[in-house]
Amino acid sequence: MNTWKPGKFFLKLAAFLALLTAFAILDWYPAVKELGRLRRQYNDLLRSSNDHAAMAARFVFSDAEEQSVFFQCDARLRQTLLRVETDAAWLGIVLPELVRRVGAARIDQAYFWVSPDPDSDPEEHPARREATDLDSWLAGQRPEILSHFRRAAKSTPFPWRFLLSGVEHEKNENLASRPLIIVLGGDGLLADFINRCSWSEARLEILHLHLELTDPFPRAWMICRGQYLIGNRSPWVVANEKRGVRYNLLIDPDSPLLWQKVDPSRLKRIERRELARPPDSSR
Amino acid sequence: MGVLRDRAAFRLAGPLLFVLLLAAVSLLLQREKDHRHQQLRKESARYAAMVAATPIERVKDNRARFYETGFYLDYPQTVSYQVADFLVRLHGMMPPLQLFHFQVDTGLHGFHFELSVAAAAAGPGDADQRFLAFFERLRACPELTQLSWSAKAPTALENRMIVFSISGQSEWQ
Repeated sequence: MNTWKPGKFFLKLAAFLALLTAFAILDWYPAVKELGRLRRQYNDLLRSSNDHAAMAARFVFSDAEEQSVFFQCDARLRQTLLRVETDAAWLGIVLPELVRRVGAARIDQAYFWVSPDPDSDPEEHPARREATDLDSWLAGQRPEILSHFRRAAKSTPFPWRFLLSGVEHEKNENLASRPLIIVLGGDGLLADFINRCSWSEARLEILHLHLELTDPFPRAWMICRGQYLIGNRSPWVVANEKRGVRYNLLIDPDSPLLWQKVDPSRLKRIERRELARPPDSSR
Repeated sequence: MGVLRDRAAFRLAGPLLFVLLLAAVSLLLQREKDHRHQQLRKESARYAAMVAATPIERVKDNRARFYETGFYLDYPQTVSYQVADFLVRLHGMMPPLQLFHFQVDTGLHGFHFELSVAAAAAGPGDADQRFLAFFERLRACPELTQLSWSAKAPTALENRMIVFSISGQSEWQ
């Protein structure tokens, strides 16, 4: 006689449910999840394709003329950087030029402080112009000067590294960046000197300027920095950053400027502007 | 015997069908996954070909480099001229105040400056008035932003001079 056995029935049902759950957990759920991911990826890709097609329709692409402008631009960049064999050779170009400019600005006294490497304190360089009584003032300024100098000497990330990557053409050529300190004192055309200190071949960038116009005479110190290509080992060589890493982006990547061909006239000759009326700091 | 075999087969058929049903669902899901993978590969290849044919990003990079190079080439002269020019203009707008201290920190987008000026305090509130008139002249310079001044510095100099400190930001023009 066939009798209904509830125990056996529930056992079978539990087995079926267990099997169903196992399939659902181990196979279906991961599969459905992946299907969702694939769908999202596909939609994103489709959107990117459509965006790209829409952009391409409005974008002005480069022609041979623009390519030649880019080529000239890179060549100009390479020509701009001084090429020297040693750090001393760079100083040999920079300091006499600065002494000449200090003289042209009729500034009475000038010191130049340089450091052999980024970890050493800067010391006075023999190149000078009638340096006399700035010592006591400089002693008080020294901690601040050193603090700014150290910051300049270890400037990481180097802001121009991305732009200047690839300028080293020769195998053993390296890009170096070196700061130096200019100390000025006495009467003269200080503003005129500040304006013209970047006009030399070394293209010194002013990083910091400290000027005091108190008695007995105006006094100033500046930290400037120059970049050059060096053929030998140097502690001032700028570390290579990963290509593609940009710091301090100067151009917005979404700027409409980048959608049009460049205007070659923007790569004009470097403009050296004279001050309208450089005042004599003598009072 | 035959009846017993039929009954056993009937008992086995249920679970077997159930397992087959579950496997069929898995198979369908797998086929759909394969289909979507294939779709994605095709679309990726199409996109890559489109980007290669119309290299917008590369052209934009070249143009950005062009403008950045122009900026780099002009940068030292721009910095030195604008700092010196600002100093000259400060001298021009300074009287009757006196410039004591001027400090500049340059950056890629402009320079930060700090300056101390001294005003003679002939009568009550006199120095304040003179300083505020100077500060208004400074504020009129279009390239200057974030100008602020601190209240009278604690040091009152000789000859009844009061020192004010100003800090601000100037953008490269």
